[in-house]
Amino acid sequence: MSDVRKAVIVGNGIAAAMAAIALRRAFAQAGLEVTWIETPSAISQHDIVASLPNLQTFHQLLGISEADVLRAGHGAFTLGQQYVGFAGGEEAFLHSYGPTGHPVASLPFMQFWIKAKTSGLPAAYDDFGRDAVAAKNGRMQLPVEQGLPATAHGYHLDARGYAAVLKAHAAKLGVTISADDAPVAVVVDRRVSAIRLADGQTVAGDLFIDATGVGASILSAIDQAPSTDIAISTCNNLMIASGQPLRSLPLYSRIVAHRAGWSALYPLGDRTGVVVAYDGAQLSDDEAVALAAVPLIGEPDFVALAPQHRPRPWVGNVVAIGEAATVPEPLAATSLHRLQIAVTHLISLFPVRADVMVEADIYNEEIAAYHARLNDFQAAHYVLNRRNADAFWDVARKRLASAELDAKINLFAARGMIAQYNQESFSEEEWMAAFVGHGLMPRSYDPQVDKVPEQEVMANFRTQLASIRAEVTAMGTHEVALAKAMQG
Amino acid sequence: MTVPFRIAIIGGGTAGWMCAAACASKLDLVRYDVRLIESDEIGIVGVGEATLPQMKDFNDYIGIDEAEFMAATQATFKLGIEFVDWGKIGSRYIHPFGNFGRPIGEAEFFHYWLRARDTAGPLFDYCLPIVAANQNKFDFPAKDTADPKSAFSYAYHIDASLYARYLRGWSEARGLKRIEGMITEVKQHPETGAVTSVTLVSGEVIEADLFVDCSGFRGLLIEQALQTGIEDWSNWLPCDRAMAVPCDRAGDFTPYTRSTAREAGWQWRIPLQHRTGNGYVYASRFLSDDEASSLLLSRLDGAAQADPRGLRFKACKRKKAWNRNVIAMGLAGGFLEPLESTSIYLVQMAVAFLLTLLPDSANIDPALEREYNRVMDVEYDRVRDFLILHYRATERDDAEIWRYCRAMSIPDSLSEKIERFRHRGHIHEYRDGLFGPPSWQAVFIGQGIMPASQDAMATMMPEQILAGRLADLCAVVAGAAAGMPSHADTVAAYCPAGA
Repeated sequence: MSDVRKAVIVGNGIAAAMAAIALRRAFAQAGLEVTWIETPSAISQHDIVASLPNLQTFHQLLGISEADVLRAGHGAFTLGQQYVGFAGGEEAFLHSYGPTGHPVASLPFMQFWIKAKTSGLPAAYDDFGRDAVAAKNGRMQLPVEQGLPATAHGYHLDARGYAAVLKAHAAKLGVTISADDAPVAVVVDRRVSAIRLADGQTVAGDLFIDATGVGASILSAIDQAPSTDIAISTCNNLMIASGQPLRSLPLYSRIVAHRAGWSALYPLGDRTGVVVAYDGAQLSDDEAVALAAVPLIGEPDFVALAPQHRPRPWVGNVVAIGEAATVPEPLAATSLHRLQIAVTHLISLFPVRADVMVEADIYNEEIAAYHARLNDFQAAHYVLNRRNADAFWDVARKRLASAELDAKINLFAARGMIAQYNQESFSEEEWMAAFVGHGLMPRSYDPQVDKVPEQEVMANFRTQLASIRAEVTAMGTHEVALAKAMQG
Repeated sequence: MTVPFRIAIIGGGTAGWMCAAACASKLDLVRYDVRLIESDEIGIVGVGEATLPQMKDFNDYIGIDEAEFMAATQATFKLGIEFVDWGKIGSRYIHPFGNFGRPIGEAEFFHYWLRARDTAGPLFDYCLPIVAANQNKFDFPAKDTADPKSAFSYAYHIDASLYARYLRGWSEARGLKRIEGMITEVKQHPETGAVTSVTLVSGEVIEADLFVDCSGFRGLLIEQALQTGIEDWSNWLPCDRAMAVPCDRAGDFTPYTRSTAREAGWQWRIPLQHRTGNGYVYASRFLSDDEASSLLLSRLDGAAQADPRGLRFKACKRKKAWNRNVIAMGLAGGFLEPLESTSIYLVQMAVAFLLTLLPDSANIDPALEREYNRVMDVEYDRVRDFLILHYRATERDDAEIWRYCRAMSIPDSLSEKIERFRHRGHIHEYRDGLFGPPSWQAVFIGQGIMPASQDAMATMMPEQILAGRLADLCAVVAGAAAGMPSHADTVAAYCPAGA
């Protein structure tokens, strides 16, 4: 084993609990002691969690039951995200988490679709995504041993309920949990040696996980480097609320552009999560409330939004995770995914020595690259908007994209291909769905496509569409799937 | 009907004919007017007699029959590259085309081996292509991934001149036009600088919308006309000459290439059906051509069939492989010594990327060029670091070149890789490009760089269980190798070249 014998987690909520569970689960057998000093919860009654599909696998690795999560989180499944009004009208597209189109003659589906589209094919790109079609028809498929492959789905969960399940699981795995209002780092030689509690006692450790939220109070004790602004729009306010539940329960979140930002609905079992993101200089809180598309329950929360991240979340023997490391732009549901990446890397790069943690550099590089590509995906939604009548969206459109995003957009516009870098979270098809959805139509296609006879391609397309129709018809409803999954 | 888009491939060596064959197979030759211009008066370099497993993908992609191609090129099979005297004199290891071990727990196999290395025996005993290669055996990999005989791939040793000839016949049969003639002039657009035409010695002028420069080291279009410039890597890869000579087939009929580190570089040995290819790659500042020639001749395992032939080069990459309407491939695109048999691989990647990104009008979309240069840069940069590692990871101090390499500064990207491997056996994984973790593990371990620790996850398995699983794996590998036919028998049965 490594000579790191004791890990101390400081903080609260989902980030702290996930780190505690993952560390204990991976290294308890080798005798790693995991202590969690829990600070007061920062989760509001309205907060929801929107996950991407890989949370399922992550839960399995951590031994967390899907049924427990769905019950405590009043959960619903989500097959994707619907974007509405980003071109100024009522047009909508779905970013489905499932694959779209099958290759033809070993060449990417997209290349054939471009050619067919330019000669008048009516079918849209996402018509060729089985899961996209299922989502729009309110149908889904749970994993079963034989039969239809499962739809790729994430979850919408009540944040408090989810955090409670994680905390209970951490305790069950033998994580020592104690509460403290204001734990403070004890620093020796630019490393944290222990945490001092309110009663004056200290908790020593080899590795410290800072999940204390914005400000990263533990990491800040040894690293004063300021956080970097990663805003990709002028949204600086969030209204977070709960609305009446939707019936029947939609299988996707719905994000609607408004004149100074966007508003989102996240269907849950017993309510609807409502988030309105807006530029406070252009929209008042009252106007934000009026943008909620469902009747609200109770008083909404108003919070300031300032997307930021620490360039080096791991310094010395302290690793900041969750909001202590990064506050992402809320569009496109990447927060939980970022946390999963952090925890996964913490395990695979668990330091082998307590005194010199060479892993920190590798970790920081990897995390930075993942975040950069996620930021790009979010920025694409702003940069590609076609709302020409709103000042907010004009500014968003003219904002400078990263070199990588710029190259991605230009290459797609030229040839319908996606330039993929290391540490991408989204598949080429997800990028394509977003680009096509925002109205980017490639100007040309791979010339190898012309070697495949058009009749053969059209027959192939018809077969694909027919098989999607048949599979979706055979699927069940969201409600049936939820009831089954909650039985465990 | 629109006017066809005109493509001229300049040069008919391995690169030119690979590009031509792919065009003949994958493009509509009515829409794309593709011509290859070469001169019988110019010999081809024909490097790359040793290849990588991706070559099979290329041949499959364009639709070439394997056995026919192997027979036509006097080809043999290749399971990896043997490195002799690299880490230190007397050392030897094989860089295999396959994985070490199989998954036996939550951590990677390599980290379990690291943990148990004092008792687990050599890493290389856990790799089927290595164990088979050491016994001069070869069989095709199993298709079922559960079969232990599935965890490897293979490449070829070929006669590159015969490969170019084979592809020429293949392409011409599919309608590709070949034009014979020396090029005397390259004309450029006065404002854009784009190449507009080439003039042949006969006076014939050939216009095109796109030129593929496969003219070799000199880079007739990319360098002589467009003056694109190079990124010079010769500080890190000091070898700048090669002396090549074929000899009679003698000694072992190995299913692997051999690379032996020498006093001023290294010597290759490539077994073909009809002869053995040999060459000495060296740094001219440490060895004269005459010395290289006589040392090479004194170290053959069969009678020389010709006088040694010399080549000059410089380790480099063209600053932009795609510049204006010219795309440079093969030696015109850059040069990396054949230590890891990457030449033909780099050509096939260039061809595949070009076809996918091929413009359809003379007004070339800059995004296509930008993406092409990005992906080709990734390919070259990855190979570069891997090659430098071979020279760097050595204890040798018996000759000037090795003392130089031990002291030289290396790219930051490589020094980080070495430091991280030493610390905990960490290998960075990339989405694109060569080489994967098993390749890095082979060279690090084979040349004596041993990590101080390993992935903490690998310490979870109880010692006895781990020992049992490792012993089982070793036995499975040994058993699978024992059941394979000899390399010579497989070649004789599958792809004999005939008289």
